[in-house]
Amino acid sequence: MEGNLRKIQFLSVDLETTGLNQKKDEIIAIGAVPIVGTRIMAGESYYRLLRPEKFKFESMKFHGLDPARLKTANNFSEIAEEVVELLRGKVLVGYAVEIDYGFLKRALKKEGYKLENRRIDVIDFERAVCYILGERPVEKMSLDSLAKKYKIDVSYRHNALADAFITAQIFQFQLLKILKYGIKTINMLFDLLKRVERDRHYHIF
Amino acid sequence: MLPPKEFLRKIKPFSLLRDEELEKIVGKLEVEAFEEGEEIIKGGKSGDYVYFVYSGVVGIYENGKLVDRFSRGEIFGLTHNPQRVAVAEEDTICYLIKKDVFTEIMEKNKLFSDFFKSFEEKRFSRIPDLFREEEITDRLFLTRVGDLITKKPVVCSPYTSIRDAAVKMELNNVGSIVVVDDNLRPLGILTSKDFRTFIIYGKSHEEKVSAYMTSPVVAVDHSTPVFEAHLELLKRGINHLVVTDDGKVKGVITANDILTLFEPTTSLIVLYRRLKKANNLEEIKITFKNLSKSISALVTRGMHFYDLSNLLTEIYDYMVVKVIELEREKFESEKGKLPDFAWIHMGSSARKEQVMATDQDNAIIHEGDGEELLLFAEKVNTALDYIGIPKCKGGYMAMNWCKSVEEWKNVFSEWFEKLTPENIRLLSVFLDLRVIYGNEKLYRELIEHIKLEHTPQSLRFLAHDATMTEPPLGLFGLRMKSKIDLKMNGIYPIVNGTRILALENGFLEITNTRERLEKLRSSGIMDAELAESLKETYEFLQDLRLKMQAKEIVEGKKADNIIKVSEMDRLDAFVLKEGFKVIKRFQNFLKGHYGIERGL
Repeated sequence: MEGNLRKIQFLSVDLETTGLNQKKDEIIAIGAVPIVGTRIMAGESYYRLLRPEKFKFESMKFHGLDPARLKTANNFSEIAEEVVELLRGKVLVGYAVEIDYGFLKRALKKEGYKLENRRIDVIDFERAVCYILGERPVEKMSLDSLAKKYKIDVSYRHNALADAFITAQIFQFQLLKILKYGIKTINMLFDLLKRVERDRHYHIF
Repeated sequence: MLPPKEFLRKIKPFSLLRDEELEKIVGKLEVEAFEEGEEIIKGGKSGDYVYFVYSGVVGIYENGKLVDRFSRGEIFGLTHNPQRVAVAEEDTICYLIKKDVFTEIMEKNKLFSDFFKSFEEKRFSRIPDLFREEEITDRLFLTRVGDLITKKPVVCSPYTSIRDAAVKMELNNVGSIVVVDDNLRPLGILTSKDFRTFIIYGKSHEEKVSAYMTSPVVAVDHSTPVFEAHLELLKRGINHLVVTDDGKVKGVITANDILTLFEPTTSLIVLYRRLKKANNLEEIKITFKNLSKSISALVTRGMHFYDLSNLLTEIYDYMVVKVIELEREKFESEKGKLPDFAWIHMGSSARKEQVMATDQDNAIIHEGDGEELLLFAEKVNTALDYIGIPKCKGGYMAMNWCKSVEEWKNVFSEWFEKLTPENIRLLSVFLDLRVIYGNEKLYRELIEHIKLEHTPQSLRFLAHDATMTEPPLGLFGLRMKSKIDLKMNGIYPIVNGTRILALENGFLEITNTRERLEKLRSSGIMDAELAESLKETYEFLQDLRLKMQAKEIVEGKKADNIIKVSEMDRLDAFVLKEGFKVIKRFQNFLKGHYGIERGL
């Protein structure tokens, strides 16, 4: 079976940034957890703190990051190659993944790399799961409420790696649900996501 | 840091791990999702992982038969058994821990490996101790004096007369009274030492306590560590310490209270001594009440069933003997000398397994002249009820069961012959017998008769009865059952089964379940592994029951034997499940032994 979901290499990613503006703001932390099929390779997790060009202290406070530690961290260009290796050939998974993807693409472009990965947003995935199973989606699609739905422990949060791991767990539960439904390949999954996205423009559910 | 580390840290037995050990586990951790019906461990294969269930349910099958079930927070796959397969019973997420990492940590962390070893060897009673070790060493340093207070403070004003103060102390049964101002602030304390001074120098009972009290008084805040309070007592050579909360009197603690913390059983010795000095029912009653409280405290501090029941059997026996003697003296001074008799106990007291005194289970064997004894039995039953051992609802008391040894023999013969459900029940009650007081010869004569009279058929009926109540089925996921009766489903099957084997093999006079199991093992009737597992299971069940009862007594609720699975400590539930498996094995052994696999 080509593109067997059980064999696909996914990577759950989460970034911390100085803000939401992709043009001005910078990445200050990358957390990533590899997933092979339905197996989260927690032991192979990746986490890097990054030194931004310009500090924004309000954001530091929010993330609970220590400015002193950031000062001694690498800057993005020093780890760009490593990040490219990490992402190579993987389907990226994330919560509101397009934002993080945008940051990564832009940062890598500056270093001369071209980023081209397929992506799955757990919010879209959740809609798709509810769509095929006839479930009512959770009220607010926050990371916390999704974690709550799948009874995932969230006692430790607000760190890019912790969030990437929680996201990976949500994704794992979702994957299990659609596998049972008979969606066995990555292309079937993307077709489903596309179909649900298209239908969303006609129905509100 | 990854969330799994924080998650595991809170879960037994991972809570026994050091930070760097947790780090090691998480550093190689994989998390896998299994679809319902998917095989997690395939038969014949030796797995590379130890599995920790994060969510869902896993069934373990041997030859297609379900033998165990695991759910959230439980571990499986540690030992390898090629006959067994593990299957996801519903969608299941497991943490996969590399076996080599696991064994490496086991080698280095003794508590952690002890946990699994105790489990494998079914030494259940040790498991809670692994988590308690710290508590014991910390007890002296962490306990606050406020925790030692057992009574409301007994106080008076400085203008109270010496007489009134003495009356108040007597009524409240205390050794000191705290003299306070209008705001409950301690001004002084009046102890027996001060009374001695009064006796030597005092003129009238109407004198004020202010003239004799020890003042200023040594007071400590309720949050003071016991350790410090103890130093204070030693330094000043005093015996009483006033405990305050925000400057107001909260209670008094004595050197004795602290001593019981160093050596918990001291409180029992103190009570035992008091019991020896008691010379009326009233005093016995008070001591008995304090005894129940001390026992609750001992249980909550982690003392085990076997140790406690050993200690308490002696105390309870002594108390009953004392009551009998007091009543006998009264009775004989009015009606003349009583004929020879034996006072017998049945039930848990006969088995020396009584920790919390529940209700009376007693009978009398005499030589033929029972009229007066019947009246006497009624007096004793009433007196026991008065001191706090209530009358038996089932009526198994000497006032109803006062028979000559010949009559008893006939009764047993009849029970063994006519195996009606009622007679089977009576046999289960009366086959555990122990002399507490009186002529032991009468008891021995009866026991010898019982040993001769029982028939293979009666053993089969008794065994059938003992195996009828099986441990909760679907027990494998305890959560399927919301409530469990520890006595019916756990304790009785062991007690009853062991008793039948003791009867068959001629050692009924050994009444204690643990000793019976040891005898069954040493005489080769039961294999060592089953006997040991049963002993462990039995102690665990009794411990669990005690903990529940102690908690209920402390909270002032009526104690029963029903445990709610949802309110159980995870670890207890885990062990309980294993214990039920042992009981199931024992019942199968009994069924095979007495040939009752297909009913009677």
